[in-house]
Amino acid sequence: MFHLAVTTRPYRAAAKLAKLCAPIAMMLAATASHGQETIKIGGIFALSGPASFLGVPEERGFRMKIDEINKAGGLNGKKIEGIVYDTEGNTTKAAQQFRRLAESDNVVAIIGPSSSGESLTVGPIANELKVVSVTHAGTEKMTVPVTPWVFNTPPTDRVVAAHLLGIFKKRGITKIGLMSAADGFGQSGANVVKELAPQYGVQVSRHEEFNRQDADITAQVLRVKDSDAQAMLVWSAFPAPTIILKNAAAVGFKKPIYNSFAAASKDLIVQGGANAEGTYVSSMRLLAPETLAADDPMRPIVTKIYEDYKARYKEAPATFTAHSYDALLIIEAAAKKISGPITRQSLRDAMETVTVVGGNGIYRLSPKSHGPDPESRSMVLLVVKGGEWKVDE
Amino acid sequence: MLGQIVVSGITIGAIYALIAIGFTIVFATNRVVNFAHGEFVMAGGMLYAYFTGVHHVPIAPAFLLAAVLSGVIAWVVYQVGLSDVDRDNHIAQVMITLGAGIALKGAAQVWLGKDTLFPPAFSGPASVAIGPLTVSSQALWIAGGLLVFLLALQVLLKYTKLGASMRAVSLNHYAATLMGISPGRAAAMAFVMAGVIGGAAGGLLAPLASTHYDNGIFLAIKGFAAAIVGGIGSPLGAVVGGLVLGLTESLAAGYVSSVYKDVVSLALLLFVLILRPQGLLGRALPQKL
Amino acid sequence: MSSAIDRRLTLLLLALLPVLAWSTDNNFHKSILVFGVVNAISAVGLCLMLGLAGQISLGQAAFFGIGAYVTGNLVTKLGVEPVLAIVAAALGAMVLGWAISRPLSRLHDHYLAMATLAFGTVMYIGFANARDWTGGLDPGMSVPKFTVFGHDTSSMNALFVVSWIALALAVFVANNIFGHRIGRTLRALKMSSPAAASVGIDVVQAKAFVFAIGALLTGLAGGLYAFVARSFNAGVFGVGYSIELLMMVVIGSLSRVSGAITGAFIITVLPILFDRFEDYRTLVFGVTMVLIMKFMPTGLVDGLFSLGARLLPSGRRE
Repeated sequence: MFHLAVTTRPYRAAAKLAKLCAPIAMMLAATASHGQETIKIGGIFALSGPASFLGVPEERGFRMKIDEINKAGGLNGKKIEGIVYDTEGNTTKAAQQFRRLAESDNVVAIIGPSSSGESLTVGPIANELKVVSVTHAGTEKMTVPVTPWVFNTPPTDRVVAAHLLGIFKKRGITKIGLMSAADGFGQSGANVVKELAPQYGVQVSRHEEFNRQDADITAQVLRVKDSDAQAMLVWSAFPAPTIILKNAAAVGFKKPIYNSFAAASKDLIVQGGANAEGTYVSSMRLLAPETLAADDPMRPIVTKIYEDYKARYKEAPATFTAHSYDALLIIEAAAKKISGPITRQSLRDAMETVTVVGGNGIYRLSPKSHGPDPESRSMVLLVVKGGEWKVDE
Repeated sequence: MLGQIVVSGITIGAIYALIAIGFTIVFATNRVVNFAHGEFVMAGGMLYAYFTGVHHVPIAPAFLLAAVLSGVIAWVVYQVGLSDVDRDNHIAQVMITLGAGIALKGAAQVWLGKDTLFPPAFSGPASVAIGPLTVSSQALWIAGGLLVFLLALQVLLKYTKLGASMRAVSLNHYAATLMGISPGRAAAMAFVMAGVIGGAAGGLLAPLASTHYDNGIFLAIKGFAAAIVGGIGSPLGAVVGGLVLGLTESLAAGYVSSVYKDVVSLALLLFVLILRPQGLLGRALPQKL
Repeated sequence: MSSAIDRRLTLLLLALLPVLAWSTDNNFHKSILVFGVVNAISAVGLCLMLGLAGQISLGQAAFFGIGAYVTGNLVTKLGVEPVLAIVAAALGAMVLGWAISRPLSRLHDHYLAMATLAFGTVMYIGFANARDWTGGLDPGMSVPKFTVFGHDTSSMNALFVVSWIALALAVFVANNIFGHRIGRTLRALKMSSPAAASVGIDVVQAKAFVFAIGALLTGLAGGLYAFVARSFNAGVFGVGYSIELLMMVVIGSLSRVSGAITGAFIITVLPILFDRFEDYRTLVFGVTMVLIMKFMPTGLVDGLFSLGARLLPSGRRE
């Protein structure tokens, strides 16, 4: 008896495990047996982890545009099946999920991943496996030089940094204090700012770092306050931009505070409250579609994304939504030029012939250009006035 | 500038201390490093934000509810995960707390959302001027909370039967069992207390530093470090460790390098461990033979 | 359960891997196998430290990172032959492991866990900021294709063969240590280091030895990882990987090499399977961990053994 009582436990555990595994097997089987009538497009986004502020709105843009295309009859009459995996912002995971979409799910194109580091990892794999890849990297290394299978939609960190530095130059700000998060996003931005600053006659007189999750960033704010910097530039995702506003207000920091596009969100106003007044961000147009000139070619599409997103998710879109949305716009335009079946090869070839006006800018794609036109004015400077974003250019 | 940096360091230190206290109580009675503890703190912050944000519960009841629910969560973690696992298999227990922590993080992600939230501060003016220094009023609440919990814990451990039984278990749980004390009950109570204090820490911290489902492990590592520096097992040590760590980070960021502030504080920790392995206020336990 | 069974099981697992690799044409499945093998090498290293000698380390990601970065730098900056670069990187990690164990030799259990965690974090911050050597967190480091004497061996099949050979070597080293006199010394260390010292064992030396071996194997895995991933950033070498390694070693079986390999594959594959649960997958993964450790506190392999032992005699009865 005693013997029995002791040994039932592992058996029970195994039974539990078996029960747990059954639904997994079923799900795997279910996805494998899907028919041929659909066109599969994959998405890999950082839905969790430090880059999720990018990945979550990107995934929403992806779902939103696919539903829209399907409602209108699909791509050349075939419905799109969107398959999304989370990369957690981890390069190893991004590479695994990319191979999974290409090899197991047999997609024609893969949209994402969200960060530069992950995108640099999947680029060579895309060319090796010959699958269309539209990354969302902030670095121009993705498309300079152009490789056959890799496209990129976001305006790069370089575009954003140049936008802000141009404004500093115009406003006579020659010395700035740079505050960047100790993560991939902050590090990438800080590098570009430091590299481009001399071209605009701007000197980075202080550079401070912090962890994105730090509870208090007063010491770093004081270092900038004590320096000869005329303005502070913050390059970080939330919550740090809000905490810096609070800490700066508490220690009487009176100089202007500029933020990168990661803080371009209603959250900065809601969370920062009175402290957010007078703060600047460099934003993609999507946060303020009404700021575009009436005859701006981007205005209709930006307004459409803004309103569709608001209708579906009950909040204003984060600007990164346009990254994946634009990727699908390009694919949609390319599909229209394909007369035969849509394959990886035919899609890739067609993509190199389209010109698309998207939420991020204008894409004039060709064998020599796989990204947005650098001349399109995709960024706008916004300032918080009376608890609202106002254009300040 | 120095004064203000010290204020910042004490604020950060008080947060670490509040987290470290929970680590220390569980360790003292269970001899287990509870990797789920950071998730109790996260849960407290997220629940406080959930009640105030979604259900518009007033601040005081929302905070109390968040702390109590975190205590319940901790109790469930103990009862479901740990209560019938061999007490001497520490590594299995550590892995169970790790798994429970991951599960809690996953649960928060599904049920409380993925947004970074700043719930309302406890009292009106954002900051208070003390002489030439400004102190965030939420930081005063945190410091006050730390004092209250420290005193309550000392009283509970010294003057109540439950406290005496917990101390007995922490000294020698076999002997305690022989004296008719139930180590399981003491262990469960330790988890509940850690959950309540951790949840309260999360609620106190959230208005200042925000709350997010993914923050638990970051908080856990800071709290674990503070507990070890101070001497794990001693609530007072947790407070000392937290303050030492917070001040070091802040001073390093202000005067050495903000890039390497964590390197400076971790180097200090290694230094303490090498010179005084039991921590600043810890008793050197005889190693088993 | 005797170590002979463990050894046979380990060899069985080793033999099974190539069969799996060649039974699929799917590049994704192959890449998972390769990552699993790389993780298994790391895990065997930690298994020697924790399972055999009772020395916990939450800083293994640092050795993994050293392996990857030294390999990458030797190949890209000095044009060293890839295999030699990996060997040199593993030896570099070994030296670091030996050096770090000296000041930590007085620490045990949770103090050692904290100290190694701190060491790992310091190294991670170093990786993130030594941009000339590592490329930091962004854009990170890119490594050319894996070649052997100029022949392109960067296909998943070739990478599998190379990693598999490395795993076989790791298993060979581990089995020898388990069976050798040094293994008994280390086991004594696990039971009680004062007692070990009292019977004339040089505790500091023994700890340094096992740290060095653990670091060597994890560094070897890191060197291979560099060529498997080809592009990676410092984010890979954070505390998260150290904790994952700990999970691999404990969930398989703390005291068996076969357990480390099994655990490595479970922790590599499980999250990918659980992706189907989408938002619930973190929750499901956490609950699965708790269930496994609760019902099989000494690990899955031991749990399955006792299950087998229970089923076998009952089968005879029928």
